[in-house]
Amino acid sequence: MMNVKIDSLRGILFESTAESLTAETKAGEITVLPGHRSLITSLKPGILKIIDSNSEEKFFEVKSGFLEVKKIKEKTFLTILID
Amino acid sequence: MASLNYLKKRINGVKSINQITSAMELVAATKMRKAQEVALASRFYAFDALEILGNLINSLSSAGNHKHLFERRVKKTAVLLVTSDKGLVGSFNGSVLKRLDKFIKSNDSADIGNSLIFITVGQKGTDYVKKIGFEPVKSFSNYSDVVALEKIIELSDFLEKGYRRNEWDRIISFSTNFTSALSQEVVERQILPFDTEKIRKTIEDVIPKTGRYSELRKNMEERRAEEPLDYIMEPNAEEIIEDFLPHLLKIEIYHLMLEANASEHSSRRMTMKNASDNAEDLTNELTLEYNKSRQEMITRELGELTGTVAAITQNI
Repeated sequence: MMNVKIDSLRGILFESTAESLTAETKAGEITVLPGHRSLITSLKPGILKIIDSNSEEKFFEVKSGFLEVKKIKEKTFLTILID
Repeated sequence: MASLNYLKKRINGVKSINQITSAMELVAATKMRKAQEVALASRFYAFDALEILGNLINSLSSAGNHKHLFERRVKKTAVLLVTSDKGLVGSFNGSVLKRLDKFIKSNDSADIGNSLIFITVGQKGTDYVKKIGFEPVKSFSNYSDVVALEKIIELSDFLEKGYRRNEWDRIISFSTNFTSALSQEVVERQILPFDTEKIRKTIEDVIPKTGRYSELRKNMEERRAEEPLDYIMEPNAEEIIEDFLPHLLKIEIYHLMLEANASEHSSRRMTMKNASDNAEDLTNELTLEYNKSRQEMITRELGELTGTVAAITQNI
């Protein structure tokens, strides 16, 4: 499980644990799973997909934004900023 | 005793002032609520963006890249002064300007004309800077109502370009932070060069110490990386910085402006409320005096009347 938080200027869109996250980055599509190395990347316009802790899929629209993955003491934290 | 006509005029005058200030109070209250909502909603984004920036800087400066963004010998300082366009806001502008004065005094006075550059937001600040003998290189106005992100781009681009072209080596902002509807505080921040310590401080300044949002503090501490993280940067560090830093600068300034907006409207609301209350008190006082004068006149006239009647009946 990893902690995912999606921020937009209008407020927090999603804050919970999740199993995986798939996003379109400028370097191509990536899927982040728990235990991923620390990463910073910028997002391309597209769809962001989260599989949450109940194995349900959630989708978010991205125009531009950034994805940060932090691995602190074996815990994985994801912060996504979208405009 | 003042004449009745004079009192009547004053009462009417005070009453119309009361009407105006009450109307302004209502307008400011509505704007305040809106500004507050936007400022609070964007707070989380701003926290996280600043936090990411802090982490990014930490891992970069250990890599030694992009030094100019983080460290520079300071020859010229750009001062970003955020005030309101219009007056009647109580001490809102005054306290920002007082802080600025203190800052100017703390600088080397001999070289001050060459080392300080002013960029102002809001008419009041522009006027003040001119009054103390500086010419702002650029002034922005109409940022007062809840400001749109698009408007910020002009300002943040200007700040960033000047910094890139070495027109200034440091940007310091003076603005107001919104704590609650009753209290706002002036803050002085270094915007560029980026400095992790100072960014952390900014975040801590913005998080309320009590109330609804204070638990955020704990939440942030748990997620905070103490050691520089060994980030993978995709596509590469160069591009991330090109994308991320201008974006963050924009967000930082946007947030700063939203806080200032919310503060301005709260401050105006309180001032107008006080003015309305005072006007109300004054109306009551004047009405009392008016009634007293009127009664006095009636009594005098009655006295004269009975006197005259008595004189006439005696003669008959």
